[in-house]
Amino acid sequence: MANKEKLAEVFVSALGIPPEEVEAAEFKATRQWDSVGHVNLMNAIEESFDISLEPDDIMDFKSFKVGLEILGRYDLESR
Amino acid sequence: MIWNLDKFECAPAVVTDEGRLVDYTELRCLCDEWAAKVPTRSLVFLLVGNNLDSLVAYVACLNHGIVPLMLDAKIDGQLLQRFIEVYRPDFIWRPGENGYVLEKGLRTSDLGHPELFKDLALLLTTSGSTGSPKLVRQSYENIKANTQSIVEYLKLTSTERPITTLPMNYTYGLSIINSHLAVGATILLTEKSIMQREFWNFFTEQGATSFGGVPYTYEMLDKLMFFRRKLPSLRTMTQAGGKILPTLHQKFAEYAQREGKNFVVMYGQCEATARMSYLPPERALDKVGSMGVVIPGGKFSLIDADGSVINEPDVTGELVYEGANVTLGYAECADDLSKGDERHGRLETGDMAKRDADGFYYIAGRKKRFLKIFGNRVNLDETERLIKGAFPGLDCACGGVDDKMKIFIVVDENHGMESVRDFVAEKTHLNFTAFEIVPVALIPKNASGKTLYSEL
Repeated sequence: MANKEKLAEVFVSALGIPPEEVEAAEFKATRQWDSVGHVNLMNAIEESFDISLEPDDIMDFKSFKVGLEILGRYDLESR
Repeated sequence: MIWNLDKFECAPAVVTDEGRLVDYTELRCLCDEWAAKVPTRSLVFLLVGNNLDSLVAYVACLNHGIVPLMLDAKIDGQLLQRFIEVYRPDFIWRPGENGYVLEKGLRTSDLGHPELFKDLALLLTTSGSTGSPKLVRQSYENIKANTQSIVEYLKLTSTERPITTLPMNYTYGLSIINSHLAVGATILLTEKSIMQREFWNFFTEQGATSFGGVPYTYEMLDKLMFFRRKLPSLRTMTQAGGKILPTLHQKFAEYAQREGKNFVVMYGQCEATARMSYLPPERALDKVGSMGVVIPGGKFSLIDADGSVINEPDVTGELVYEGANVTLGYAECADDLSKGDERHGRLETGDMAKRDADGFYYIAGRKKRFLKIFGNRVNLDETERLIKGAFPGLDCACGGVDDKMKIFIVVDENHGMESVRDFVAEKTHLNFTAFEIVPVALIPKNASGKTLYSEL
């Protein structure tokens, strides 16, 4: 599965939002994406992509779009 | 008057993350201006965030005999309406489109509130999250006494620069403000969370010396690999709002020791203004899991089921606190605001605790049915009532542990599990990850219809 679709699925399950809201999802603007939701989302991403996110990336991960860029910097292909 | 702001003259009182610096003289002037618009002994709802407008209004109220009820600026509209109907405030200070506005209280009847008890200083919610309008009534003496104790045991001086990590309508967040204004320290005001880069930029630029956190804050810091951060200005981390996991306590205490900082575990309740105990930082490592010893000026005792005092170590009993910071009592309607002191300095905490042979206390459980979720008290019975009210015919029971409530429901085709979880999250204003829905065939009950929680 492409990373974008995979990330979208993680957003849906970790934040409990409908798939059509994923692309526009933003930290603090999306209802369930507060600090608590953020930790939950980061943990879910680490688990499903089998990576460990750097603290800087955790803090920069403010939207679906930015998140996708951040994930692009991790070595996902080899997994 | 709670604070003598003039005493600190041109020392900085507040720095905001927007770069605004307010010294103590200016803070006093801002407060005088604010208070000039509101008659003394008025009841005012303050809808607050960690911003200058909220801080000025709060300080103005307390220094000028105006009684505020502190509410989150993001409060649910229905819940706010309920508070207005029950308590009939004279004014509401709330954020508008172009900054804060002072509105006339929306009177639902021609009746205002009755005369406020002369010593009543401040009102705070208990478990406002489940919609209960129950408030804690704090007196001027309560706030002064608790502030004095905190200043003493944390050894606070004017050189402190605490950064805000907790809401101002939350007793712990408020106690940080109270105690630091009392010593002429500088409060770093930000609404950013520790999950945001802007928070840490502000922290470093302004040289923050301390912050407070509930257990969940420390879990987040751990996730952010806080220990890798270079924070030379940081002196003290305090923890309250629920029992921290011993593993995290250990980790932060070790970090503090290694880096020459203080990690201070504390215990308190809104009913005792804020703080009742603290674990001296030099004992943080050899007393992991302990909430420490009683604060200066207070007294703890443990009471067994028969009401007699427990003197032996390591025996669990209900924790009873005595001190000048024990609040006046609760209010459940406007008439209660004229009530006097109902507790007379003695508080049965509802927490079960034991004391070790060295005199250190450990929380062992709770007498009442509530959980602490991200530092907020959430009453389990009230949550059940909320669910049953919104989903007629649905049988449910709430249990679980702190930060993770289990909601047992009898699933039928009319009520999805997700809709219950989302409903509770929305009503309590807490993230839905705190709630786990457990489908069951039936809720076990005894002959008289009482839920048998132990069988769930």
